Amino acid sequence: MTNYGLVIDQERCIGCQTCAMTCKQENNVPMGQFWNRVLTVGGEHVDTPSGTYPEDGESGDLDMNYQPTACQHCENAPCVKVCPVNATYTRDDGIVEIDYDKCMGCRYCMAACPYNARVFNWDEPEHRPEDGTGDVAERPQGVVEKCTFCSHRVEDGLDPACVVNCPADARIFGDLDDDDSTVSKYISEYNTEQLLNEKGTDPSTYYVQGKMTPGRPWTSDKLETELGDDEAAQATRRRNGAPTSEHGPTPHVPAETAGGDD
Amino acid sequence: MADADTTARRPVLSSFGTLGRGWLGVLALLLVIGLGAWAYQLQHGLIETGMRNVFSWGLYIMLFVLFVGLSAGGLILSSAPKFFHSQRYEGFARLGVLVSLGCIIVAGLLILPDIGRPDRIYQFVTSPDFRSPMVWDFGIVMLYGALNVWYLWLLTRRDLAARGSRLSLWVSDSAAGRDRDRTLMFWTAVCALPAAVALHSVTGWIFATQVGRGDWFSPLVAPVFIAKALVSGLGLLLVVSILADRFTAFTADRGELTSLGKLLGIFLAFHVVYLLAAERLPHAWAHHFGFWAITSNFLIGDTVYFWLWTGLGGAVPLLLLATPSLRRRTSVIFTASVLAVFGTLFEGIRLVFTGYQRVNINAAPGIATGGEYAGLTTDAWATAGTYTPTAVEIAVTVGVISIGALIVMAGLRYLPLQRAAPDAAYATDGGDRTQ
Amino acid sequence: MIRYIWPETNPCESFYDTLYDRLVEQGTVHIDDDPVLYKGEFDTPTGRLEIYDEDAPTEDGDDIDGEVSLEVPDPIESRTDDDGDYRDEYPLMFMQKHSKWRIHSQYEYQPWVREINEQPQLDINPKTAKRRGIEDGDYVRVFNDRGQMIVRAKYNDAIRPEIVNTDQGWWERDYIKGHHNNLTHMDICNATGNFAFYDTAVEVEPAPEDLDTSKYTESNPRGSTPDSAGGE
Repeated sequence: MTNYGLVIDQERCIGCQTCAMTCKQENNVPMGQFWNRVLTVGGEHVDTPSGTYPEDGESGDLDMNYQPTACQHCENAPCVKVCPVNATYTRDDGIVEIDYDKCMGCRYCMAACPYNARVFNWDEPEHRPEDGTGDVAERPQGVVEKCTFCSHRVEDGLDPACVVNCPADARIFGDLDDDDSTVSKYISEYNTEQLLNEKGTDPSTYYVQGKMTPGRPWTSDKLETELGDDEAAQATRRRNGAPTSEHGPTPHVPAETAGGDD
Repeated sequence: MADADTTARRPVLSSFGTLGRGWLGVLALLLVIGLGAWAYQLQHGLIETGMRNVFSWGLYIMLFVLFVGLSAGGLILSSAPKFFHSQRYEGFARLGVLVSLGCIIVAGLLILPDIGRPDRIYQFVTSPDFRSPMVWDFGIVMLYGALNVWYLWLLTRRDLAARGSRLSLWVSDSAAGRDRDRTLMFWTAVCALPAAVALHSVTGWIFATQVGRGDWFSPLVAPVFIAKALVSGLGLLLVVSILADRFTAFTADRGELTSLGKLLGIFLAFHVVYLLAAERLPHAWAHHFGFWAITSNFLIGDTVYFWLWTGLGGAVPLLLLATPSLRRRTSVIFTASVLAVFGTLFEGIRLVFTGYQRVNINAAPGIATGGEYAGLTTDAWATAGTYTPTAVEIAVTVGVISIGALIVMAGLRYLPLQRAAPDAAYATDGGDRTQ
Repeated sequence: MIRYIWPETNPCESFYDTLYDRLVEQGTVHIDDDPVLYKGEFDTPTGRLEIYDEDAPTEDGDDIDGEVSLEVPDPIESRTDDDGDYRDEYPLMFMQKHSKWRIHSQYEYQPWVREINEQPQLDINPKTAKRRGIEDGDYVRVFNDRGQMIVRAKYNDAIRPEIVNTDQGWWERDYIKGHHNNLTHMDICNATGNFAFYDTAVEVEPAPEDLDTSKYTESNPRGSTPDSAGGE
């Protein structure tokens, strides 16, 4: 069975907010709402660290990290269990999704979600540009909405928008049930954390902390399972840290850019 | 027939009178304002409330919790003695069930304005997920409401029949019928007590099952809900009884009032002293080291709701009711009961605030609040929950509560809530009537 | 998705016509293009561009020859100032760093970006701020002889106590009052042969109490209390 999951390499993340922006564009997310947020773990504000600035030769204790946070697509999802009308459900491929035609807007799922990943259309949804963006229909007022792992793209064999557009290759999407997938390999080979692990929700989103991974090793828009043999072989080499060109360390160079999936 | 007129119990309001009409007028006005506010909210959406993404349940749910609790008193008080075949507090039984019914209807109706798409509420029936505590609660609220209707009718139908009221439906008054009803009342009491326990526990479990909202996730929540239902339910019954005694032909037995006041004191002590201590002590002990740090964190709350609940709504009525010379006064019982209900209101408010005030992941920029978009200068974020109900929410809530009050008024006027004549026990044993 | 139009890729005019039509039709257009200019290795230990160096010399390290100082230099202005007391009056060095939010002043009006980066702020070390009675989130007046601007103070421990910063690229309409370029000068820096906007001497004080900040505080769900402040 397929069980989709996401690995976010916090050592690679540069806090550029591209995933937050591209999510908003791809999913037609209304103004005043975010499905995907880049949090600054450190000081009180975005882009500020904890600790104090080192003066007079002190050694510093400044510390800051970025934590992109969206729906964690938990295996034991509290939101799914509380939904009285089966509007929020877990798909066979592990994606937690909302049936916007069923949701009656009781917001029990928002009370249940420990990650505050869900947003509610309190107002008539408003978009910039006004006609909206992306490939997903607007959700009506009075329903709850959230990240879908871009299920509309996944169904077309494409990685989620935030994954494809991460300039730091810090987001890797794939099948957790496949031991050979990049996500499974990274989870077993690197130190990964799940957010609020102690709540027992068993998220399908894993955060790499400590040693940096080689990141998302393929350069096309496609899901890992949809890669051609050549692409897959190159991705495997890069995932294993092997040089893929004569230059040694390879910056992310799109190998082929015939995307145009819009 | 003339005989029946003199022996069957009567409604306690023979007519509404000037005062009664004025009060009905006020309630009707509040209801109209509430309906208007709800229509406005339906048109504009929940943006007209004070709720936002971080604080996504507000006044409607806080008062839903309160009114579920309030509906406990009457039913428990009238069914518990019957369960033990006792005549105690018989005089309060009918009024009690009437108040219970009013409260559970208010509670159920308060859910409607909280729903974002009320047009889809039928999904509760067509597509329920039985894992959801809200489905359990939906079921038990409906069951409990139906039980109240049945019980109120069962308690009054023979008297209604004797008075020729159409509310008796097809039932007629007879000694044998009253005998049968007594048995039915016993079995209804047998069902009512576990139903009440289930109602309050399930409502508690709506919160207690949630890992994501701080102190909600506690096995104590269900017992606490039972305790606060006992406190607030009995408190409200005493308030309504004393008011009915003052303004209608209803008579509340002074000795039983005092005895119920004492019972309220015991419930308060169990809820506000014992259960609160049981909830707080382990946390205070585990998280602090020094003796005084443990003690102060055990005893001292940090929100105004905590103090309104435990102080004004807990300690003060407890002291009033614990003093024998004071609790014999009806005015003192009335004050203590009002305060107990008031305290429970703030206990519910505190519970909801506990869940939403702090967020688990509060790193900047925080959580998008989803409020109105006012262009480039809109600040969309919050790292902590804040909530103030809007005028719309208050108007809708008051309107819904006025429906409950109207139900009670109608009951006072049309249902035989009068006490049984002190010299005749026929009202409950039903065997003494001469044909 | 973020797409780029890269005019150098195909100079043919009809290409641009088609592109324009597609852009109008689709809203966004993906172009086959390789935007990476440098593909070889840099002359660094990792072969990558290195911005942060764990082994960089420190003031008290053994590996320095006494010439290295991490002191903030005197501002250019006080070096060129006739009486030389400019620095005493305006002891803070004001930078306007380039941020990730904009390219210069472009995209200032981008609604999605502005949701996260809402208003101009003054990055200020908490020590520097507290000495001046400035709380986190307060509006402050930044001024020198040339002019002033009023912005929101943002406590930031990553900034040196002698330095304050407001990201460049904000427009005048974004400020409560003034503009960051009211403060800058046109002295030329010897090292770059260009304007030394990064090297501007200023002083900071709490903004006047009667200031009208409703532009940013009216639709603020948190009010203006700094203790729950999280957004930008």
